[in-house]
Amino acid sequence: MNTHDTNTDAASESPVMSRLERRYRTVLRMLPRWYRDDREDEMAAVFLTERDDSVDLEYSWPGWGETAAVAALAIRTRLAGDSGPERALAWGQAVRLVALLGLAAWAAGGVASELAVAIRQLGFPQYAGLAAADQGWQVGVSTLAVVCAAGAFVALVTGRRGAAKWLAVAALGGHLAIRAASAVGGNLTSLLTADVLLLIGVPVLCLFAGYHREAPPVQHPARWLTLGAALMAGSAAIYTVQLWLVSPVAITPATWAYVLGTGAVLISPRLARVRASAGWLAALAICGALLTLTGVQQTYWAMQLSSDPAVSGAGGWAVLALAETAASAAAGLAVGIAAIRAFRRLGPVRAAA
Amino acid sequence: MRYIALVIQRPLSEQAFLVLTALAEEPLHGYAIVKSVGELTDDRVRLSVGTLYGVLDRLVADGLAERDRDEVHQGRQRRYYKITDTGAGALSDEAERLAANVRVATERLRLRGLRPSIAGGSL
Repeated sequence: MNTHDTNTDAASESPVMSRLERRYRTVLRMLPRWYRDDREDEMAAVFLTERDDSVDLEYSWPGWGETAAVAALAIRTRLAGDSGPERALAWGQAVRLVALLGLAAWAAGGVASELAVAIRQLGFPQYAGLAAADQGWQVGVSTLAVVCAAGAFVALVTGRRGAAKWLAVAALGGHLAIRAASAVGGNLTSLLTADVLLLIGVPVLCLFAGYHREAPPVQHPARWLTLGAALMAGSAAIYTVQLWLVSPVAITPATWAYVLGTGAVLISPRLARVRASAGWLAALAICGALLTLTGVQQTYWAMQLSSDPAVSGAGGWAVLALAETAASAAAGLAVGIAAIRAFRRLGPVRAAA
Repeated sequence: MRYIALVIQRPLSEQAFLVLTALAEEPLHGYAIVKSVGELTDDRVRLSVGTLYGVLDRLVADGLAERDRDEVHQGRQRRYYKITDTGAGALSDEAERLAANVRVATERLRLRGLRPSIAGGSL
């Protein structure tokens, strides 16, 4: 077989760049600079080989299939798995950690909430009035979504990332369906709440972007499962106490777990390795940003409710939401500065030798 | 700035298998690999450029293929790739595994009175 042209004598001056080539090079700009420096000319040459028709070169476009393939390559190179420049590896690790932490918090919070609802149904008649809002098909879908979220976390940690992605999409779909139904009922803002879009949507996006074919398996699966179980137990305890007190002011366990966890990472000598990891620091900074943005929306709503004299306890909720937002912002800012320093230590990104 | 590569053994995807097969005969440049894979599969598999370089990156990172030489043809850069000894071994192992699967499937189908064509024809 001799499908390639070995005639090196044919080398001549560079051809004039056609519109098709310009368009293709524009598509290639999705790739990181260090990769383009090494590969752009080579890829353009492969794409344009045997495309000699002047009409084709003037009016054609790279096509959706080629564009999608370059986009997938861009994700794999920007969020490197097991090979690549240190910064690309750190970003890849950060995105994968956001997926893991987000799924852990989502699954733990969901299971804990379901447990609290079950306890409420077993023996808290004074809470029965509040349960009315949860009736209908939404209850079943909500439970199913929580099961799927928990399944996605366990599947990801135990190396079944294909199943994890399907389960995460199913869980996200369940949450969106409930919110959409609420929007149809007149509550249009429920569809765009930050908790769904940021605390659930972003980790699902990170799951798909970060866990590509080259991504390494999750390290220390037993520790991750322990973390998920601890989060779930802590959240369930907090929810149950709050139900017992029938308190209108409810703290957000995930936010305080984040604040305490980030504080420990920044201070504890036992977590020095995590503190030295640009990927970990960036992941915690991203989580802090997501929690802060969600907190801002919660605070805004709480403040709106507190101005309504018919709603009791909203003032306390507003103060707590503000405190949680400030705490997550402070922790996120501190770890964000540490992340920037850690990335600077990695130096500029250059192509492979 | 260091470039880090951790060699992890993983099964060959069909695309990686086909690219290694194309490189088994001689070093090829990117377009020749695309063309060769098309010929090997009767155009069933048509590699886009983005997909090809994803596969090549993986093969090079895993030590199964390596860069051979650069040439300039009609003003454009051509980089040739060649299979390594490790890559040839991996391709051989994968070919044996697939052949064993084919043998088992063929025997089972014969028990049902079917005679599959190994050459790729219909049953």
